[in-house]
Amino acid sequence: MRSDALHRLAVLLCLLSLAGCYDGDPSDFREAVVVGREGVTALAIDGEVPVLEVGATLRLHAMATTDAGTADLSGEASWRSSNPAAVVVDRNGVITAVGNGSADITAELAQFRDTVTVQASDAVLTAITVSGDAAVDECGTGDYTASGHYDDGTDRDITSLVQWSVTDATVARMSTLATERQRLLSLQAGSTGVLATRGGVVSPAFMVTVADNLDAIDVTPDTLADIPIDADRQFTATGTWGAVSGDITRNTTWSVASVDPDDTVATILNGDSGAGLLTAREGGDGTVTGACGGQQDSVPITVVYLDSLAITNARPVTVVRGGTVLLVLEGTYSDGSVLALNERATWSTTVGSGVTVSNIAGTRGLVTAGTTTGVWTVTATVEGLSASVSVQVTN
Amino acid sequence: MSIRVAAFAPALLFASTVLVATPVLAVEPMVGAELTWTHIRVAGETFNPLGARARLALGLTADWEIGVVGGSGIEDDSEVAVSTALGEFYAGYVRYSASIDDDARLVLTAGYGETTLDVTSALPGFPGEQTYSGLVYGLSLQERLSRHRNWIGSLDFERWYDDEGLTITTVSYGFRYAF
Repeated sequence: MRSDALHRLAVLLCLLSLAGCYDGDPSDFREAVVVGREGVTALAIDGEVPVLEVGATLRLHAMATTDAGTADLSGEASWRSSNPAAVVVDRNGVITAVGNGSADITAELAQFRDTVTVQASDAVLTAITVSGDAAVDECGTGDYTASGHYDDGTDRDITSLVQWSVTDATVARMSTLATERQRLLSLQAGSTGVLATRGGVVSPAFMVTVADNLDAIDVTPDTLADIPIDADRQFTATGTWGAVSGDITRNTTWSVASVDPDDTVATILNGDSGAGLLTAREGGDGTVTGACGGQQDSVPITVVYLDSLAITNARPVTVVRGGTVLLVLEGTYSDGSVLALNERATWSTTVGSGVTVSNIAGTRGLVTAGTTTGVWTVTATVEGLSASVSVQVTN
Repeated sequence: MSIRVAAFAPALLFASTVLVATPVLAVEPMVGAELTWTHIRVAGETFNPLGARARLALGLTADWEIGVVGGSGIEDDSEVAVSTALGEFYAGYVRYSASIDDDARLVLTAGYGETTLDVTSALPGFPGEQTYSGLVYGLSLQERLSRHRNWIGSLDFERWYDDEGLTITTVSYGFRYAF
């Protein structure tokens, strides 16, 4: 009898439990933290949104104005569609047209929000026409638009929806940057076709002639010495066409040659992201060359390596209990130059030490004494070299 | 109020099942108080507000216990211009313990609870009070104090929430008195 009653109570409680279960939504908290961390002051959905064919997808970007500039916070924002029967949107801002109609797509980040209207159509794309610059300077750029022709008789600008390509990749290439995929960057004189492709529909080639008119290329800086290993340096290339000059860093083919062929003193990036960015790899001399359209310019570089490391504080290094002392770390490089290296070092103390040492940016090397008197060793390590000092904690 | 009832329901359900299945040896009421350090992780940041909580429990057998625990924040924590304070938090639970030695026991906890956080900032429009509920589970170490065997010290590690990039974990230390 007692057992039956308990069983019935258990079932009742279970049902109550299931009906009462609910969860809070962490997104508000998450967004508040992002807004606070990034210093967000405004939010806007970036770019124009074309009419989307049913089944097509497009990524929207929630661009935040922050203390440090702008930042793409699409992944942090909350997205919603006013009409999911026409357009749906996922948590990263990727919209998909699912039926005829329009929908307001809203991105929200804490108290900030922006809305764009997206049109969805079930008309079928039948042809694409490309238009734009038919003549381009050697190592210059050209811009193109794509017009889509649909089976309902409408023509729409689908520049941002198509995939761009060229017929001769030795003459030119299309930009890979999301904001300018319709931009052609020429590499040498010649001719090439520009193609726009979407959903199996390919445009006729729009022919582009690249003139043989680049007079010179100038790589800057003219020379780079004393580049520490692992440091980055940005090179730029300027092209000259008669009396006109312009930045051709992304058109340029960059390379690094080491004086000693067994060494790789540095590597350098090509393409749209980070073109001309050199990273020093090992000590030695080399040459950076930028080439485009039959012209080239070279500059010498020297990558230096750390020869020795020293903590330069006057000895003995003492600190009162609970007090602090900043250690000063200096490195001597292979060319004789001396640099302060506190912020590049990894600082440590022995296990059980009576002092702590900061590895926080801006305060690296700051020793804080505990409450126990004694002598402890603090070590700084950079590029495999170490320097140590005894720190005495006094009353 | 219905939420509170629901929160304790699984624990009571489990306890009632135990009562049906296991002969009751002795019912041992307990009260306790604990200090709770909370580790909240969200959007790559961590907040560590402090709270205090009270516990009412019933030892059903030497191994099984049911109870409720609830408390409130006592110190908030701020990161990236956002301040997070513990509001009220509750859970109903069932515990199973196993002896480690004569005085110490290792305890597994499962239950259901909710945590209220107050998220504020100097910037306008911040979410304010947020309530998160879900499965509560954890591991504890309990030790009967040798000189007063009615007193038990406990160290509890519990996960109170884990969903959509937000986790709430607590570490609590306190004492309880078994009547």
